[in-house]
Amino acid sequence: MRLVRLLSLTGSLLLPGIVLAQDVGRIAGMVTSADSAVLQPLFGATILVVGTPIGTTTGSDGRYSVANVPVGTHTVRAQRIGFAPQERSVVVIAGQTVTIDFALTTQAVRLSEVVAVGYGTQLRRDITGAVASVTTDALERGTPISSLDQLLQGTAPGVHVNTATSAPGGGISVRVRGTASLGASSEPLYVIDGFPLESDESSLPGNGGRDRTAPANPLAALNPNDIERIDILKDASATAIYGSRGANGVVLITTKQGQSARPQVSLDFYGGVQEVSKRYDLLSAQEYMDYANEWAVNGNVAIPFPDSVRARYTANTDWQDLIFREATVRSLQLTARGATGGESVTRYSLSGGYYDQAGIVLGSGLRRYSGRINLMQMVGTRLQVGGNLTANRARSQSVPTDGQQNRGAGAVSAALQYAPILPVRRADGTYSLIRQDIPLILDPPETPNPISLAVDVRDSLSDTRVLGNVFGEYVVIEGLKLRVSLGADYADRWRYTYYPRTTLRGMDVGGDAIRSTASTTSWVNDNTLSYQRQFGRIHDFTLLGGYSRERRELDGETISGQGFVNDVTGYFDIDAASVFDSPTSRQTSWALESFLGRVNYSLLDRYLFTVTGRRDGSSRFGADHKWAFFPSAAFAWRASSEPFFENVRYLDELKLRVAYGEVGNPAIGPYQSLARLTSQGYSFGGNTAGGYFVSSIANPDLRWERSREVNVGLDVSVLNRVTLVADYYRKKTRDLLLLVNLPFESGFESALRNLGGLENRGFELGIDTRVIDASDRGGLRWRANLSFARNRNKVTDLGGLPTIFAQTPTGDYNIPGSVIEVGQPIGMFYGFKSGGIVRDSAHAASIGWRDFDGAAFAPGDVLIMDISGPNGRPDSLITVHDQTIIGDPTPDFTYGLTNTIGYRGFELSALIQGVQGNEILNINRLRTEGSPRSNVSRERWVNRWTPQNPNAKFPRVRENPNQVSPNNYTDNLLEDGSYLRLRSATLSYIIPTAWIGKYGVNAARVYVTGTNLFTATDYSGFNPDVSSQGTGNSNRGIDIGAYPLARTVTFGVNITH
Amino acid sequence: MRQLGILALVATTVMVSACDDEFLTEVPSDFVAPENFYRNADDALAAVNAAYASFVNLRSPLSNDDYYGRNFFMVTEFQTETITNRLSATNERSLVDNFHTQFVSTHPYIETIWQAAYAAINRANSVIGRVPAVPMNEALRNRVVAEAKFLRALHYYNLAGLFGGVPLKLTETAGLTDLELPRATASETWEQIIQDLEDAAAALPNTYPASDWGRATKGAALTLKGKAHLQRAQTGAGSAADFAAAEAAFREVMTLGYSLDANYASLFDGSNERSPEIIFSIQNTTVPGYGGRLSEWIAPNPSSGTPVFPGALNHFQAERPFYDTYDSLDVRKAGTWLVSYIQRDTLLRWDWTKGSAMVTQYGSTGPTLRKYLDPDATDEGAEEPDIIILRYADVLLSLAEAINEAAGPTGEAYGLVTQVRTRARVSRALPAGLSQQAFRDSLFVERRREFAGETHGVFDSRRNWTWAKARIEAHMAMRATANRSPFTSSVPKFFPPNTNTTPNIPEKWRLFPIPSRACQLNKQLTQNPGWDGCLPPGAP
Repeated sequence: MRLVRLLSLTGSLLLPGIVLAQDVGRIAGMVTSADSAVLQPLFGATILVVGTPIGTTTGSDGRYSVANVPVGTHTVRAQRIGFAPQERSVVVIAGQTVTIDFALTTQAVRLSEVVAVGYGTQLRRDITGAVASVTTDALERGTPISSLDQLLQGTAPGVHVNTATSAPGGGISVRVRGTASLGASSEPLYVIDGFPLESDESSLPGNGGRDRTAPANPLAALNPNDIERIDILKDASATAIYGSRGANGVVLITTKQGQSARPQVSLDFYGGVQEVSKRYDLLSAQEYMDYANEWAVNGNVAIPFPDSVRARYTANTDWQDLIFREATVRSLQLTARGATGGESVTRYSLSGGYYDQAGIVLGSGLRRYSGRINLMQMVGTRLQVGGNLTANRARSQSVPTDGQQNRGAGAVSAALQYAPILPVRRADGTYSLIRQDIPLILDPPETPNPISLAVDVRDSLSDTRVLGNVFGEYVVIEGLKLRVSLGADYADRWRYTYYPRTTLRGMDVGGDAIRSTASTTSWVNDNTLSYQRQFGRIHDFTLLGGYSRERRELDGETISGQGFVNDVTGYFDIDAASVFDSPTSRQTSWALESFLGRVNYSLLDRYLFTVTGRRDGSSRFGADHKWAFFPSAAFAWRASSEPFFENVRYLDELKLRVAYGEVGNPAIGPYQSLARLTSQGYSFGGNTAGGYFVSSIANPDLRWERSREVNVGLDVSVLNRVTLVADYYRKKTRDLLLLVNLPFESGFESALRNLGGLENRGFELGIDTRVIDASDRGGLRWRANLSFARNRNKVTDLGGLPTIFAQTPTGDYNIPGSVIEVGQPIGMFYGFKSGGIVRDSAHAASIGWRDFDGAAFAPGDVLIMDISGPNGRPDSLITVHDQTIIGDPTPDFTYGLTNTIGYRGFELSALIQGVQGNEILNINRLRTEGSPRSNVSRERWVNRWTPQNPNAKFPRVRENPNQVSPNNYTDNLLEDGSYLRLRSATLSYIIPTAWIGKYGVNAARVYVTGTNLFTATDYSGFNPDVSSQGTGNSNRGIDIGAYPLARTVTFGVNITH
Repeated sequence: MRQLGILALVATTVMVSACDDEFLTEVPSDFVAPENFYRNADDALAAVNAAYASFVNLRSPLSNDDYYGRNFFMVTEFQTETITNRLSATNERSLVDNFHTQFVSTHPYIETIWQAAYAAINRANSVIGRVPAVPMNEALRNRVVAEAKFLRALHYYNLAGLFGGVPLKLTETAGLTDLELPRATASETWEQIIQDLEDAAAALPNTYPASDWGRATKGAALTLKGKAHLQRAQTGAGSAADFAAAEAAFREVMTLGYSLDANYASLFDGSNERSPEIIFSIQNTTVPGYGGRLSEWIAPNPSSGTPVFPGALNHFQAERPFYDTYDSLDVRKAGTWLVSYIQRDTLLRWDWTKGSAMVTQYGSTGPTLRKYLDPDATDEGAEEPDIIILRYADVLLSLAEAINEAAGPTGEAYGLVTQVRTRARVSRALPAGLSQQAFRDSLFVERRREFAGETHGVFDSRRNWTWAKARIEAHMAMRATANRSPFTSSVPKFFPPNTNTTPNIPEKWRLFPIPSRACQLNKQLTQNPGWDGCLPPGAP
């Protein structure tokens, strides 16, 4: 009966009893924690009548009641995550209530945990693949969570979260076991209550395609407080049930469901303050002018700030001070959950939430409203129907931050660049502009005024999402269940931007308004049949078969106009523009059809076999490759269940797992296999005439990327105190979807093909220990949880090419993008090697080669190494041939450590998280260490080379010392991106019921949380956890004016009635 | 109740799973596929229109700067003694300027020109391959195909002029195999160009109705054919027969009603775009995406006050030694160069004689190009002035060149040059009794003044390499030694090393290198003499 038991445990499939006999009785009682010094009721413990699907969960008072239990002798089991399960025998008499109380002891071993595995659940002890979980424990720890990524960061080994932007609602990039693709997305598949959501950047409306901004977070609309648990399927054997979409891992999100018979109403509130965690230390006005003068002297040009000019510049503006602010964050959530008794059980969970976060950069912020209804209804004893509906609206104001430099600079990079001698506004009230207001000889770029960007630009993003799902589940005969579900997701997103005429961009064109919208509609129909049967105590089979269909449509358009008479209406009245760009629109759709199956077989409760297969047909692939099959198999040996281990008392569990499987990645846009014509017109005699040309070539062979992965794992738990999960994996991906460059003579740049391969291998370790039990030390308890992961990535084949360069990350310098090279990890940094600063003339004389301009290196210059030439040998001249691979943006390893220490009602919990061994390309430093065209870092000024300071860290004050030839840079711009961060620390206190009971409150908890309180890093920028080029596979680890990280302190309270 | 539930379940299952075979078939809704195109005359015209469109609008990943929007101008004009960009030595554009020693085959400009030209050729190939099967009026069909052949020839003309022999891709690319083609010889390449132009000339009309103004005409095909013969013969890939063929082509053009325009300057400012002098021009109009994009690169941008328009970069400045050689009455001096303009009601003026340079973006110190500058331009690709590719003055000077090469400086040759000089109001007459070589050299000097900034520079240099090399070296030496104030700025002009007063242009500059990325992607390509980054010349 394991399957039924399992299913009855899951949040989404809660099965009330199937009663075939007429005579029934009732079991009721209370579940408490045996460890607490005070007897604490346990909320959410599961009560099961073993061998039947009958069960329930306890309410917040720890009480439960199970009706309709057939008369006779039963075993009743109570279990809860983090506690050892208990079984008691009971005799049920018709029409009577039997009382059984349980006192559970805590257990580090999470064997009893019920894990979502896709189209079903399994007990943790029966799992054969690699599955990491973020459970209610972590979710209920009380840390204010604004987005899902904060739950994944540092808690699940092998799941690496990289922040694309720290802006409210900003984008994240999640990698499960490294990057497994080059041309397609490497983001995992998210499944919310069975509904798959592909992370799809193309569905997000941009800013009219003009400014590069980091993508918004596709899951920002999901209220984290609604999440019950997150399970991450990591290896191919676990993800094979998702077939063609399993290669990047699958994140299964289960939302909270109504459980207890007694209605439970809770209110969660927190509020806090955020501030910038780190700033650049830049020059003051006086220092800046000194710097500029020295620059002029060294460059043999007239001094820009003789005393007469100096006197004119009286301002001393700290631009960072002006655009950063202390900002508030608050969140309010109301939840009601419960279940009705009687024959027709109804379970419900209702929640509504409000979240409001002001950004630490002036002008930015996020507000989210969310509502959720989860319902389940028993119809008779064999049928249950249910559904859930979520509606969310997230609205954010963003300021252009992750921008480029010069005219395209965002507020943050402009604040770093703007000279401190400028006031915010000129005497006439208009914004100061660096190009016009500092001495011309400095030849500054046309960088917009940072305050004008932060205050005047209106950039609104809205994300409205309605996700609904209905299902019916019918027990055909005992053990055989049919489940049909139909879900729909509607997401409407828009981004409206207006650059008023007070900003540089708006000034030139008389105001610039852009309206961009995109909506996606998808539906999924899943039909599964499952059968569970046990033969004696020897064989235990669970069979699952299913058929699924899914379709998704996207529709979007962009309109923009310039030339407004005033700035009053902005983007709201775009008709008021006098000049319009051509509007654009798009419409795409894709479909997926699948057959899936899984067999779980357990022999003697020791030898566990899992065989999974999924056959997927996708519209997105070439006519000749619509269908593919993804199989996997896994075996686990629970050695601790062998008779010879029975006497090893300290060993609770020892399990060896071996798994192998093949999965795919289809994450490319629709229609890529088809040839297409694109419209493009021309004018004759002054009249425009339409035209069409072939813009891409058909590739009917286009198909999935295939990943084959072997996983070897070990689960150990000892002394009822320490659990260890270790995994080693090796994943080979081939048929990479690669935008392969075609010979130029073809007339086409590239075509999407299946070429090349790469490999990821790594090691993961998760340790969960109960260091001190409450029962050990008079109420003191301490739990620690460690996660560690190491992934090595290697490109094995690029379809014959030795290297592929990514697009330039900034058009202002045309700096080359990162390089993908055979034999190397993906996305290495490529540039010149530097050899330090030329100390003195003796040192200069010893250098046998010349710089890019053919000149000799002078004292104070950055020495650039001559490592090659046109013939592959050093040629005594710095040329483009001297570029090489100079750094790697991928960490050597990542780790997280959670400690929870409690005493009576007090609890202190802290998450330390970090990465080690990666490099960051800090493009901001091209400016902050260059010419006085922009402000300069103090360290660069103080520790510059002069004849008196020959061993300086920074070169002589000159033009961009970090640039070599046009469009290139040295490894000076690379920095160690390793960091160790106290990501969160929470101190909470449970107010004794005695104090508050009289107000009708069952439980109340207050807490204070600090987020990002401390970061140990050598990185000089705002935040080493940065990837301002978004979620792609290359150009990672680049920092261009990224939104800085906030340090937050919040106070919160949870009240339950 | 139970039965109801089962029924509902089954119904749902049937409803949503009702199989349609088309479930996985992609039916695109927001673009056109080749299968439902090329069906009628409208489609045929749309296809050839898109072939013209690559003059003004290149699709990603190419940008509109990459060919006629900018790079082609820089590559063909910065290498002459007429125009400079005056940027810092390490700027990408400085590398194009005047034989930079660090110019390599990876330079993006030659790469994008190569790439853009072949993208445009493929559009023409689609027309040439597909339109003959389209059911439509036969005369119109022939004309559309002929227009495409003219366009294909023009792009190959550009490629052959810059790079020598190139791969001849003559059919539309339809699949992903067999895309690597070896280079044809220069002679074969020119032969193909001439063949296309002969075909085009046979089918193209002399003129079009006003609504079709700007399409390729018979005159355009013949003019380009004549020029192709000249370029082939003068760069060592042809024979004496080419001069006769060129002569014949130009003479035929002269019967088609073209004439020199009395107002030289008006040809380039958008005010006189249907002049009888213009034979073929890129059609620009002020609709965004349908207009020119050069002004941003040309226009001066004073640091104080609002610029002429956003992003003006002032990269096409006169070289003073050249600027000083104009005859004082030559209208082409003022027609080509802008020495003053009005900014916020203030007249701003470069004044070398007073030694005070106007401070502009990137330290401009000299007059800027006036041709193709649209003072009302925005950065939207909506500039009015048409870009002239072929005009009648070129026919006259090219005919004089053909005659001189075949028969020496005849009276007729003199007369042709005189026509051009007379229109320019040059006061001094061409000296009589010049030798063939001297006539040739003075003809090329005349071409420099007549066509400065019109993308002929490098083509001309290569037809008379000895003259061009000596002349440019002399100018560079003047510039390097004179240190005359107009030629200094905060960013010194680059010729390595800066103090070198005797520049020597290596012979490899007779051709540009084949872009090294083109070689990476097409292993059959071989490199031009003296350059690296590809298989050496002569390798398979």
